[in-house]
Amino acid sequence: MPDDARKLDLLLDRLRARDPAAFEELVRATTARLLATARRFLHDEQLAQDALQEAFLQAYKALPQFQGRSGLPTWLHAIVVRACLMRLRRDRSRPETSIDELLPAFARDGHRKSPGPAWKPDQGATPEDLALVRKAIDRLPEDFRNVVLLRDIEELDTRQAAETLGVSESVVKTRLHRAHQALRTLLDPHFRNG
Amino acid sequence: MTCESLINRFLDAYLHRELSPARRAEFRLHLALCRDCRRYLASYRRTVALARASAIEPAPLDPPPDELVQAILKMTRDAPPELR
Repeated sequence: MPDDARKLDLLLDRLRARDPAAFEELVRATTARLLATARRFLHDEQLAQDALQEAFLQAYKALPQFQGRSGLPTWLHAIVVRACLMRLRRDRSRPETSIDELLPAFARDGHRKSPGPAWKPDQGATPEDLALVRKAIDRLPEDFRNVVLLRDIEELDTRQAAETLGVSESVVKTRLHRAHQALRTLLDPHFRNG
Repeated sequence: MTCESLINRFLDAYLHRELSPARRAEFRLHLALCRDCRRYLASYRRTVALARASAIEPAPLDPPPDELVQAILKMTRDAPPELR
């Protein structure tokens, strides 16, 4: 466990006793990272800050019952992600590309239609490449983007992602595979040879 | 095994070493014979690596806005007495 996470876990008894100084310490130590997570999901500074406030209030209410099995930072992170997902569900207003348009297409004989050239040799990702990848992730339909954010960016395992999203592990696996296929399609014009 | 089944049904399981030995052999045979699928697999692997690499913050995290920290602290201070 990293030092910061260990320090936070040492706060736990004081937090359960509702020590205001301990809560302030927790908020100051974790807000920057949790806000970065909320921004990745919500793409709007005000919505991200609102989600974070909501999540901290939920955490404050739930602290006396917190068992400590997952570690305080992990537990808080999960509450923030769920608060963000709730907000996304409430406001499904973003126009979205259909995932089908981004999946590889096949002819009746099973061969891929217009396979295109190989990608350029991998010489390491530049900051520009990574910025492009982040933009491409943002263009994925929401259900698929959320799986990529949880599994690849927030580094949850399949079981944790399934619990957070309220779906089965096999749904998480299928969505992640399709999301990677779609992401590959979006990145293809930038990385292909010629 | 067709290109479609390799890419849509078996690719993810192949990368996670979840295919049976017979299916894995079939998958590898198809790859040996199909340049398009080799290219697809290479670009898919790179896509996954790029997605994971994109998690790294472009710059060190800024301190959170103080108004936000104060708003969170105020909200919990103002919480109903049973929560304090």
